[in-house]
Amino acid sequence: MCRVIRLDRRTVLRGGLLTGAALAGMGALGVSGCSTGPTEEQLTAERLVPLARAALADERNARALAATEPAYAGALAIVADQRADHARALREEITRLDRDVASTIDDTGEAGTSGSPAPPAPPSLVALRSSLEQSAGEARDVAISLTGYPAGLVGSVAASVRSMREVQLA
Amino acid sequence: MTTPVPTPGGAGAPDADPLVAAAEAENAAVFTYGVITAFVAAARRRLVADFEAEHRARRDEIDRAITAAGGTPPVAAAGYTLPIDVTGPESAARAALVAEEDCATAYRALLEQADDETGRRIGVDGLSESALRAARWRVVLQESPVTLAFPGSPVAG
Repeated sequence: MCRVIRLDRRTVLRGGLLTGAALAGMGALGVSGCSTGPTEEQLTAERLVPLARAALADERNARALAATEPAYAGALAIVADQRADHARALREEITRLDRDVASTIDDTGEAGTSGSPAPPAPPSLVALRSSLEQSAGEARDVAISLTGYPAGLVGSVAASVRSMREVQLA
Repeated sequence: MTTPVPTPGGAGAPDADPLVAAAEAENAAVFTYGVITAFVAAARRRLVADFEAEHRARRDEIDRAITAAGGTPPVAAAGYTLPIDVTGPESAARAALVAEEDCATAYRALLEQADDETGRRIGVDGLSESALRAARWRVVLQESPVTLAFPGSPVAG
């Protein structure tokens, strides 16, 4: 039922023609109370957004650090590549679940994050390790709270990030 | 993949229950570590013993979860056919790596299929531990990269 309403909402957002049948369906679902809240897909997509942003930030920092930490250059390049893979896979899944939520991934300085775009701290190995630990922990918690393919994807990301922290950057 | 040596009257079909499948993967891993300990370099015996203990602990946890759900934990096979002929330190490390990757695959499937948080917690923690041990074996084998972007994924990567 909710899936139907989600498609209708998209139709509305895209300015598509709303058919009488769709209107009738929305009315019926409205009575059931289903149309007022966010859909299951939207909620799942929203839980994945911070994980995608964290992957992008880790990738950036690992790439920047590879130039200044020659002893870890090889490991940092792999960390950067694999965090980029994570960001890509998460973005694909968010897009599949809800295109509107996907368009928020690259937003920065939104309410809920920092109010004004503060200059990011210069990357350091210590900060990257700590960020990876946090990313792995958050992904683990999100994986447990989801079901199906997204749970597996996020759990796999959590496992990957933990092994990066504990083996690549040990 | 590490497969149980068929026993007369033994179950042949793969288990539909992802928790049981994870327990089977752990039983195979415990068996694998038991075999390879005689072949690894002396300096790595401790590592093998630690990893085997981690697998036993995880297997026991899964067995308790199966029992709590009203099921019967699978009995470990008398033997398992290793995918690699273990003859020395390198093939021993390779057999361990395969056992870890098999466990990771089973845990990711559990994570996707479990219908409660207990199952998913076992899934994500088992997946993380197996990915970590697999990375350590890739270091031993001097394989690069030592980590995977998507451990437990049915497609390599």
